Amino acid sequence: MKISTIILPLIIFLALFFYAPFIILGYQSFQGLGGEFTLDNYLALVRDPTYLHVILYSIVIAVETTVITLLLAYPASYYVARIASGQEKIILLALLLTPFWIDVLLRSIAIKTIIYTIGLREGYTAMMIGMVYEYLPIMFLPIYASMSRISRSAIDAARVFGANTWDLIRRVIVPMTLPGIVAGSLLVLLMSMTEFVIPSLLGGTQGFTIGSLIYYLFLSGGLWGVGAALTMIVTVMLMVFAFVIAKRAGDITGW
Amino acid sequence: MKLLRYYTYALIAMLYIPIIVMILYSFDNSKYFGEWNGFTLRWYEQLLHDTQAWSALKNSMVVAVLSAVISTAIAIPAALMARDREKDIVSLMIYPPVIIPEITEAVALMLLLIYLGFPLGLVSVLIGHTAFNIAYAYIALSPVGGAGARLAVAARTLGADRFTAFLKVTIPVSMPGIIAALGLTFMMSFTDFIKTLFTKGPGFDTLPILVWNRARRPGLTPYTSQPAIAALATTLILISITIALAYTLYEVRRSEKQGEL
Repeated sequence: MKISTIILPLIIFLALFFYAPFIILGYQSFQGLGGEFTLDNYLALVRDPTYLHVILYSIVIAVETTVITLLLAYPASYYVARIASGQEKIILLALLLTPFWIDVLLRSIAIKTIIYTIGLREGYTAMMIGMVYEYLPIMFLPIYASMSRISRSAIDAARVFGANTWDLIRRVIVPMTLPGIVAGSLLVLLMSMTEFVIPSLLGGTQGFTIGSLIYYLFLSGGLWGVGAALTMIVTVMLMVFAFVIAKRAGDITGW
Repeated sequence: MKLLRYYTYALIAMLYIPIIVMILYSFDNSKYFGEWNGFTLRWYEQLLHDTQAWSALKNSMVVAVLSAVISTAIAIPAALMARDREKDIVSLMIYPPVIIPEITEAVALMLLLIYLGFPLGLVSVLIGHTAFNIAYAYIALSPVGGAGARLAVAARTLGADRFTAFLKVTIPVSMPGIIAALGLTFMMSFTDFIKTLFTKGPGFDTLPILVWNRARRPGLTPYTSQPAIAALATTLILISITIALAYTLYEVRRSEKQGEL
């Protein structure tokens, strides 16, 4: 296939500085201490209880974050998508989107001031407050999108056939927003699993997660092989899930 | 339904209360969060004489401006002139940088740079920022791509060569998209923390890195007292919000104009 020179700079730059690094990362993950080929780096992640604990702990935090943000965001997305209108809707959406422009680092410091004000200190609760705060808008958007797509007539029809509010929610709204729920949950789950800043600044002694482990293995521990194996697993998992989301809910997230 | 409205308002208020409280504490004449000892401007005065902060600001600006210009320049030909088949290849290549978590990208790039023996500092940070910015520049440019390409074809049937058509037709027509791409990539780079952390090497600090270093070791010097960190973070938030607002207003006006066309 002929590729014109127009897109070559982009292809070369990304190949060199985005794709080649992952090849090196993959190579590193199969390297032993003496430079020989080995699977030990991957096996260490499963065998060594310290690593396994950190990985499971991060998954627990990510699942908790997902469940809490889902429960909090769902009613609000219903309100913004189906009840609010005109000026009110625009303002609410703008307010929900603005935090995306403020870096997680700065928002973590903001959460710290709140934590100290209510008499808490760094720890599990502080970290979870920070996680929910960070990921709430990310959960909100895909659910809001699928909520907006439910047609008025579907709700009217359910009403006509005698559905009460509870039936309406259980039989119509939740099933019809399922793609948004799945997309939002996977997005939050995967992003929060590698979160590094919030656990480091708010978690105190409870803040050692996959993100911190990657940081530690590379920047202070010098265990590049294990670090590379861990990073490879996370990356491959994410690509697979991203592919699944794109396949199943592509029209909703706009990917 | 009233209840649902109050709930939504309360939830959105929760997103802003921490930021407002942090801004209040940046005027607090105390050393720690959680105790209020009266109003002071001393943390901001201190910031004015803070040579580390000024040099970090300079580094952030240099990296953000260069990265915005380079990534937009690389994305322009691909977004504005490529044929459909080529665009498919480009789309396939730019989505992973958007999806993959930053920390894994950062680690991978750091490994490559170390393997190559590339010195870590301004240039390595710039490379890292540009690698993800290309995707965002491409996305920001895409909406104007079609119009520019069609008009360029018209210009060529009227006798312009490919280069002239690009320079005199495609670029001017696509100016709004180019400005949007520059704004977005500047912003991404200016606020980036994780990619910078892994590719910076010792001695090269940007503003987010400075905030991180100080927030990790609070209370040791006047610069790392909690209200001083709040003042630094508030300043950064103000810069972010200002650029974001300018960008959003520009985008809104641009889409209104495109509606007219």
